[in-house]
Amino acid sequence: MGMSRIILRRSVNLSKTYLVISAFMALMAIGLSSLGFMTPSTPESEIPFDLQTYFSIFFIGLASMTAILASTPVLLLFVYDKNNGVLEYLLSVGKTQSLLFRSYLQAALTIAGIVIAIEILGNAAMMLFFHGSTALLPMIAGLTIVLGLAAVSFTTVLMMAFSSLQKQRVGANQPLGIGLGVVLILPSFFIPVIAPSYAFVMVFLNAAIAIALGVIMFLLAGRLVKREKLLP
Amino acid sequence: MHTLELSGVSSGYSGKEVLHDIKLTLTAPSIYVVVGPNGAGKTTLFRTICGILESNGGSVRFDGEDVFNSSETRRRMIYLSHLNALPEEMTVLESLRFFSEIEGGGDIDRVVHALGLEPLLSKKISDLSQGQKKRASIAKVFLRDRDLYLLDEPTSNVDPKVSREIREYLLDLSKDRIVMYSSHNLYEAREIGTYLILIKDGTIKFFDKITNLQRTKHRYGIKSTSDLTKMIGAEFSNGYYIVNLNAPEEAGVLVKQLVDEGAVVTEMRELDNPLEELFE
Repeated sequence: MGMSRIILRRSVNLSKTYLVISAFMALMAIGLSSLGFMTPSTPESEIPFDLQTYFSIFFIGLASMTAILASTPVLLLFVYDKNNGVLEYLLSVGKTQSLLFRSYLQAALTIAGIVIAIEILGNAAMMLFFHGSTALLPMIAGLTIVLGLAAVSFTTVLMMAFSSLQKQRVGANQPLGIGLGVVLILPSFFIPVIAPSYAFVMVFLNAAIAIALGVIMFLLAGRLVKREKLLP
Repeated sequence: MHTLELSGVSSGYSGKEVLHDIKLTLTAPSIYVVVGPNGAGKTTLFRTICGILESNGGSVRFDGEDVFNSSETRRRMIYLSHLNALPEEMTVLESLRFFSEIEGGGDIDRVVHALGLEPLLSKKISDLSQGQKKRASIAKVFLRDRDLYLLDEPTSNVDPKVSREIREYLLDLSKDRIVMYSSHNLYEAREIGTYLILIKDGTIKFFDKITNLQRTKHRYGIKSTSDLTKMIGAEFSNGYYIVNLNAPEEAGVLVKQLVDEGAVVTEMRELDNPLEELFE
């Protein structure tokens, strides 16, 4: 069994509470999105944006936040393994720091991917049920996958980097990663209100920025984090 | 026969050097006891040898291969840290399976039997005592055969029986492998080690066979029903008549002299561990 699958299994066993709360948030995202499908298209004269579009983009943000929450146990496991010497042991038996980083990241992305897939399927089912505009479906699905996975990779790498690079070994900078990941997603909640005509384009740009930051952080972390930084 | 070679190795943490210009070559399969005061650099030495810490200068080679840059070479050695390094959310059996999976195989049954872990297999690591955790931690080290063992205080927190079993296991291993073993217990070090490596202030102060250790003090305690304070001017303390000799060979001569003079000697023992002098 690969390292990332073992980490995935251990993360789920470590705390199921995150998964329960994630399931609740996923239901909330699908429910809110359904509100949009139930709302008839609003004429621009009444409010400056289409409610169906607004709720759909709101779904993208909320679904991405759910993915971050669901993958949080992986990050906690990383910190836990670092502090009790498991990472040190794995390094001593020939694993490299890059492999360890990649394995934890893969595990986080796998959990996020499963959660996002369930959310997209749920959202599509509700869309069909309420006869919403199916034209939006591929766009919403695509943006949720891109923004969600990008935000999770950014958050995961950032948290692992904070955990490894902080000067004090007992420092508590790891949760900053989650905070910054959420900041990345926030624009998707108000873009439809500020710029309704360019809402999808701007969310796409938002996702592109998240991906770029995630990749840069991963490459930097791989270079910056020495093996000694994974010691307890 | 394997060779571990450290040539001009300096290493440490975050740019702060702990080990300075270490030169060491180990070839004979044996137990090399590493001793030194707290903070001397024992753990840093082990971490550098197994490739967790990069040497700032010089190199660490095992059978000619650079350890830091060769994962394959690192797989041939194992480092047991003073921490238990166990996933505490698992049972003992699950943790052994976990390490076995990570490493691509291991003989779980053998280590369970060797360390008497059968009664603990279904217990969660978090529920074990410190000594039991240590046993589970040591078990993971012996899942696979290695060519080099780096063991940082493997018998701390372990009861005397298990401690003795671990030492016997290591003695058996050391017949054809290099075992480096750090300990604060100088009596244990003397009992198990063939070679002694003394580290102080990040440098190696002594490396030789323990039997070659030159001593300056030879304090012996004699139990006797006769009053030796008058006979040989010995000091009486804690039930022993204490004498200072110039060499261990003088002990036999002294006993013969006492017996010849009519004293009844019931016991004679060396009071100080020769390794203690190294810490002074």
